[in-house]
Amino acid sequence: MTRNCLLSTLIRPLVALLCVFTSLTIAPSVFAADASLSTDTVNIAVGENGSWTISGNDGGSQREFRWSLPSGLNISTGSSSNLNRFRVRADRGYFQVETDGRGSFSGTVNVSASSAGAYVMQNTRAEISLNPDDVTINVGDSGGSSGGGSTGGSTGGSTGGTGGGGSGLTLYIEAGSLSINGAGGDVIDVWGYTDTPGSGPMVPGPVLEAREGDSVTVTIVNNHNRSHNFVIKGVTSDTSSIPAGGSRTYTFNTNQAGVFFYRDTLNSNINRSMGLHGALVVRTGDGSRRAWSGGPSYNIERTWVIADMDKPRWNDRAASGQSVSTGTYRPNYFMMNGQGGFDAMHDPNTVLEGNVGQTGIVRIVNAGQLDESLHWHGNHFRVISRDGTRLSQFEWQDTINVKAGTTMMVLYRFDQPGIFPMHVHTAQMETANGVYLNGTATLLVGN
Amino acid sequence: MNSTKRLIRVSNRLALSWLFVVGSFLLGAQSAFAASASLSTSSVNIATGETGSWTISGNDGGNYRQFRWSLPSGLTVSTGSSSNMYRFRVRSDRGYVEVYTGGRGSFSATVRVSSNSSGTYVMQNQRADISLSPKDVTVTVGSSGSSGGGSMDGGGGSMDGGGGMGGGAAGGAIPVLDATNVTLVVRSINKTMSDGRNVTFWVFCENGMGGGGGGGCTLPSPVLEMNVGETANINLNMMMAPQENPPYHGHTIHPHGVDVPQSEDGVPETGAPVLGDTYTFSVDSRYAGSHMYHCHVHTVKHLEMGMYGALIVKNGNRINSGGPTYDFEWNMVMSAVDPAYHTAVQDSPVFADYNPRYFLINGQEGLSTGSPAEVFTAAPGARVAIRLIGIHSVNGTFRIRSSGGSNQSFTVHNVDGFALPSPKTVTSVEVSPGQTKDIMITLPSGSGSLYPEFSYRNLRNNSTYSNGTVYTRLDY
Repeated sequence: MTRNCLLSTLIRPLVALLCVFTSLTIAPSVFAADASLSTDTVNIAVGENGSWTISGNDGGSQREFRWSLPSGLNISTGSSSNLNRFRVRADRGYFQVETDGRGSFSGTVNVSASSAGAYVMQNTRAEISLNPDDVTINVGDSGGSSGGGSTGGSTGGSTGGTGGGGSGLTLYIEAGSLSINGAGGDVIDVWGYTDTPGSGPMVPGPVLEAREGDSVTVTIVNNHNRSHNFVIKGVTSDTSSIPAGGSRTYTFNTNQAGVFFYRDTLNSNINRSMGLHGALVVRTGDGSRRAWSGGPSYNIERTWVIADMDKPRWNDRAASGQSVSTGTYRPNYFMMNGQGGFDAMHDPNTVLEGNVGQTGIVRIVNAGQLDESLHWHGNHFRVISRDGTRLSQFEWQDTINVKAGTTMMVLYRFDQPGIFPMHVHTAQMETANGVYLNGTATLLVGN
Repeated sequence: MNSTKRLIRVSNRLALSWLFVVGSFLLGAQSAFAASASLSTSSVNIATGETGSWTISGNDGGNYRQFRWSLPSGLTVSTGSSSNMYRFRVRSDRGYVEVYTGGRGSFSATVRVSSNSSGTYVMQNQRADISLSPKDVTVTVGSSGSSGGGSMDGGGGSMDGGGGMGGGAAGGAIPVLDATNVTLVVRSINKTMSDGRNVTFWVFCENGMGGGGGGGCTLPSPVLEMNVGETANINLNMMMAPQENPPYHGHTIHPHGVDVPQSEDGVPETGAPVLGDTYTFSVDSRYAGSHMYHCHVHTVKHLEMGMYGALIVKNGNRINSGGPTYDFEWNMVMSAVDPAYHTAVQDSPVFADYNPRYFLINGQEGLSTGSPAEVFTAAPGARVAIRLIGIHSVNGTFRIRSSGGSNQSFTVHNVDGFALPSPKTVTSVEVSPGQTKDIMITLPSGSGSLYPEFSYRNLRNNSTYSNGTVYTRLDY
């Protein structure tokens, strides 16, 4: 309750202050703000449409809810009332319902699929009491069988983007735009990798996931009008160009657990800075929650791809086919997982949240061109690897410099409860075009 | 070449020695007096049970000046008469006697000494903000009745002789305050940079210092010191504080590097009051080392404005909970200045692009070894701890060079105020924004000088900024 209250108002310090105060010392408001779903199970056949509805009372305050988007399930918005936002965010991997603070509200979600199976829309955010919270959509073969029964399918994946997983994956290079929301934000022209052709680029690209010892095949389809490539630093070495309209397949082994930086290495950093970058996460071969086989264990995991962009001098010019003077780079946007701080402080895939006693592993990729000195409040952390090299001794620190183009793995143990910021300590990089806290910043939440 | 510290050569009856004078503009108007001080004697001869004394007197040039001497164990030290003192006291918990002048010109203070055991006790000078001669006092205590010890040269190797607590000689004129009971205010001060440009800073300053006008306030803000096991009690009094308009009004103190509860963290966005507060937290032995404190309101501006200082957790004169001891301690606060950030307010595109023009150590530009930001004096053979506190917003590298320019080895003991699992001996160390590093170097046995320097580097390509290397000098 306190947390949600804070998170939703973080960008307005004064309100946040009041909010904390009241939520800590006074019982919840006179309205019992809560919400419910019309059902936790939807049974449909292939090609059929089904739906479920959320309704409730928001107690007069804006409240947000999110659900995961299982792949293969088509989701669209139906009728609604008193909602501020009601939308599918395919680029962020969630479905969003945000009420407008006028009390009663409702929203109907339409679902369908062309393949039989069980799809779980997992609730990833609920700012007020919600019951039930997850929805299982059972899609039977056409003809109406009631389908799959127990699902077991939820991946529990905390990382943003899609899991590449296993052997074969195709990424598409596209041009499009990235929105930095909130004050100081803007729509920035980008180029990026995506796993969904025609949907525009994802910036950063999808988090590719594999296990130690996997043999992985990634095919890159270049749907953009200039040459690109795909190189995983420390993993692949093929830097040849993929011409516009061409494709190339890369096969490699993920022998070492850790986090790796993939990007387009062509064009004097322009391609990478335009958004062609992302993270490969390699977990242990047996799936145990350890940094590597025999390495330190963790309870919670996050991937942070941090980046910077010089919109006027690089993105605007490169996107319109103009030359970029690469000697000058003065970025005015600083992002975590493709978001400014106002979003990154809300985003469940970015905020590191755990219970006291638990340890989070954060796999960091600095895809930008500036070094980022990250300061963590609340608890000290230990760096366990730098740019693919495992450290033999873990030092306790509160600030670590993640050099441009490198990776780092960090263990953060929740030794005390509380909400604490994690932010870059080069203060200008905490901004979105000068607007404070809409840059490299997120939260560490100990419960 | 507007160094705020210049060297003067002072001769006296006892020795010819290099001393330094602290410049003026931080501390108020340049005085017409040559600020200096002297001791009535360098040796006191008494018998056990007798009480002797020595006196410091001089002229502080109209500015607050601080002096410290070690407290040798077995010697009883107390304060006698004094005039025009801001503070005059024995800090046995910190291992020093402190003389802090009142900024009113002439001053004097008499220190009383006695002992129950015969022997030689050296009260070693650890800090002198202005020229001081002689510096150390040797107290020779004979068996009762005898006249005792003969000529004591007082100098030489007996650095921490007598096993005194050691304690610190923070360089320069940045005040050192007790974090367990301190009230800070916020004041605006002006500083003329090396190219003549005037820049306004906001700094924390001890309450009552220099009235409301910022006199006696320094950049960086005062050093806050506390011992392992103690509880900080830092009060922020917002009376007359310069500030921005909402939503970035007010100020806080963030104890950066100490894992304090959310309520003491000083972050407005997670509930910290911005109109004055008391910050209470304790530190265990893990924290023995260097940390920092700074305002956490609209930090993109307020950090740049100068609202920062060192927060030192002491474990006697030991570098961390289990490491070696040091004889001298030198705090270096690193920061840079982009003048545009000092005039911009609220959310502004100015804050998206950082273009530092001036680079500082302890608030001073040291553009060459001949014009160092600070001169620190230690003894030959001494073990010197240098506390590197990075409040800059670009990359940075610390080195120690010889007079011939070669890099000297030193040992890194603490990172972010926590002991390294294994100390590292290196010839350079990176200090990134928000980090601290505690290093130690053992000086050669002869006399000489070393040149510690800090190079401020571009975040994109690590190239050193123009005028980006700040030089200091370590004399021994």
